[in-house]
Amino acid sequence: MSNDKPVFAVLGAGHGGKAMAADLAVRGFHVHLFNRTFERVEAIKARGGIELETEIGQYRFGAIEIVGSDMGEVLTEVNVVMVVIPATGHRDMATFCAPHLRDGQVVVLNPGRTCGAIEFRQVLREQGCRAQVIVAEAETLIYASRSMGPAEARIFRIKNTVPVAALPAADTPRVVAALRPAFPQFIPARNVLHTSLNNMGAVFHPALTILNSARIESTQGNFQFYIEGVTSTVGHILEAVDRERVTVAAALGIRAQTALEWLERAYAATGDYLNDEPLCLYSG
Amino acid sequence: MDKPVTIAVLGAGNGAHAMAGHLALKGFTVRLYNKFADEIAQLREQGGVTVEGVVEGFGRLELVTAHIAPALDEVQVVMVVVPAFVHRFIAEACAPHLQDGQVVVLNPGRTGGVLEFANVLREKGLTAQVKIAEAQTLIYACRISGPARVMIQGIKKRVPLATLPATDTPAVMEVVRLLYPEFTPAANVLETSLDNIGAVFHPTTVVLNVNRIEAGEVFDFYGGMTPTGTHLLEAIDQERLAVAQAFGVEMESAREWLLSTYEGVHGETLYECIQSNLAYAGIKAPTSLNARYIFEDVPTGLVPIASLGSLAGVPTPLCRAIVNVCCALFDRDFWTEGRTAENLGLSGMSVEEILEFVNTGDGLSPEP
Repeated sequence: MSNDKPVFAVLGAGHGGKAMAADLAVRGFHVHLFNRTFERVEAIKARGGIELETEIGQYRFGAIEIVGSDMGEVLTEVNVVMVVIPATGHRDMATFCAPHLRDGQVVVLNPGRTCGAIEFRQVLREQGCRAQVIVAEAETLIYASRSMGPAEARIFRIKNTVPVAALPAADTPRVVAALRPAFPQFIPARNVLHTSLNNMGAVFHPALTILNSARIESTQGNFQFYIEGVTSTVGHILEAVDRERVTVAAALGIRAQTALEWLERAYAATGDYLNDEPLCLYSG
Repeated sequence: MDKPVTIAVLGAGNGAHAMAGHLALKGFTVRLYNKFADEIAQLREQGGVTVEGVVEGFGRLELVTAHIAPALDEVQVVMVVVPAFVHRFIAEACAPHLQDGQVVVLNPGRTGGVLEFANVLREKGLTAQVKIAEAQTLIYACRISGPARVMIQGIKKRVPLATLPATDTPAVMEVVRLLYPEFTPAANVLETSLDNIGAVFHPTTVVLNVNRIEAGEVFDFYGGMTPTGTHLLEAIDQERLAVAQAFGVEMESAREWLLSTYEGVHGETLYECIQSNLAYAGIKAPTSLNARYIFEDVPTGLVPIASLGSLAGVPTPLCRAIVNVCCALFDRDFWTEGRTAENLGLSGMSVEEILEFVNTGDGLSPEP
């Protein structure tokens, strides 16, 4: 492995993992791809890679060197381990990784949701992992992407900036440096509490689903979740939930963005309340 | 009773119209009181209420007034027919004017109606010897159908009623059965209070449909009880039953209640029972969130159920969650507005002391 071209392992072959593996490979990086269920990556192994439709509509083939469900093999000679799975799988993934991690490897959870890095580290410790690794978490997944077939992926959009933090925060510069050759979009966040507590999905998704549950169930979800699902009273409760999140953050010394501020920044939305303009940007 | 019974009906909504009109048609002397004069202008002008439906005729009222004192003077029975969140106001208004021997019936009490009413009278220093009872439900299915006119669609065949203390229930039954033979004695006011199915069905279903209601969608309310939503209703019902059990009160589950109350209901789950109930078909969801489904069933339903649960050491995390969500949704503090052990005068009492109090009247802490 060369110094300016880190080798990546992508753990997880879902919508995000396939896009990331293909994108890295298309851009000339060495990539290994792990999935717990081998059947999910069988076609990729057979073809030797993933067909990617890029953000600008080009079709490119990303060759993946090692594909499989053998963690030891996938993590061999790897510099950066990108975990791209739902956060509910982090605990299991940490358990699978623990025996195979090597000194100097950087593990990044894409994203960590709330307390991903803290949980991952804790599992490594419980599993007796002695390798000197850095565990970090991104605040969000860098891609908006979809799996389009067994060995196909499509990237709709790549975010401009993605905050990332290591545990402990003193290691964050090394994580940013390790990612920079492939992903200049990653910027340092103050610490993992910052990335963890800026979890807008936790504010929006469960409350919106509960307050729309009967509608979801009776229409099989045939309505626009953010546009039609957020009435003024619903927006009211999202703000109340958000206040709790921001207050928890404040108690931990973090000045978290409010959901409203986040919408304004991320989507240039405006409005005084959560049910005003901002969520309209989720249209479609 | 030798002389004809005189009755005061307090309230001027659907139920009060039906009750005043029907009792007058039954031959009782009936007066009607309502706080707001404009709501009873038509009744005053007509001198009574026209009843249609399962009962027909014109019920002449002796008095229609916005003044409580003349409404209560020398009546034997006071029928309170208002939303339960108005009980506190009615109790405060009545306190100076109640007279020895009068019987007050809350139609219905919801959860903790009599406990609250009696506590307010105590706070107001009432000395008259009165008996306070609560019905488990309103005896009528009815709706105001025009000015001074009411449609009675149905009269329930059996309405449990209890007095505080329960030892007074037989004496109250003797009087109220003259009005309604449908009244049957319940064990005590905890039984009538915790038998509150509306508290289980209404707020949670509104929460799970909040955005459709607010968006103005017209849909069947009970169709808004989906399989998953009904799963939550059953879990909340289990909490209610656990609280009732802690107070030694036997109670039907919501599902058993549907099976025993309505014709043709069948099913293994609450969902199946609700969906097979033809009586629910076509009942539309409220068109506004400003509805009794929240503003009555949360403060005088879920809040006292959760509060009684706390007293008895029975956890009610789901009742509490729904209350908390409603507080945030509507920007109200239902935990303060609603009926709690504290404002019912029960705080610090054990389950045994509360049972002693509701059953015999003994053991209440001396001063509220």
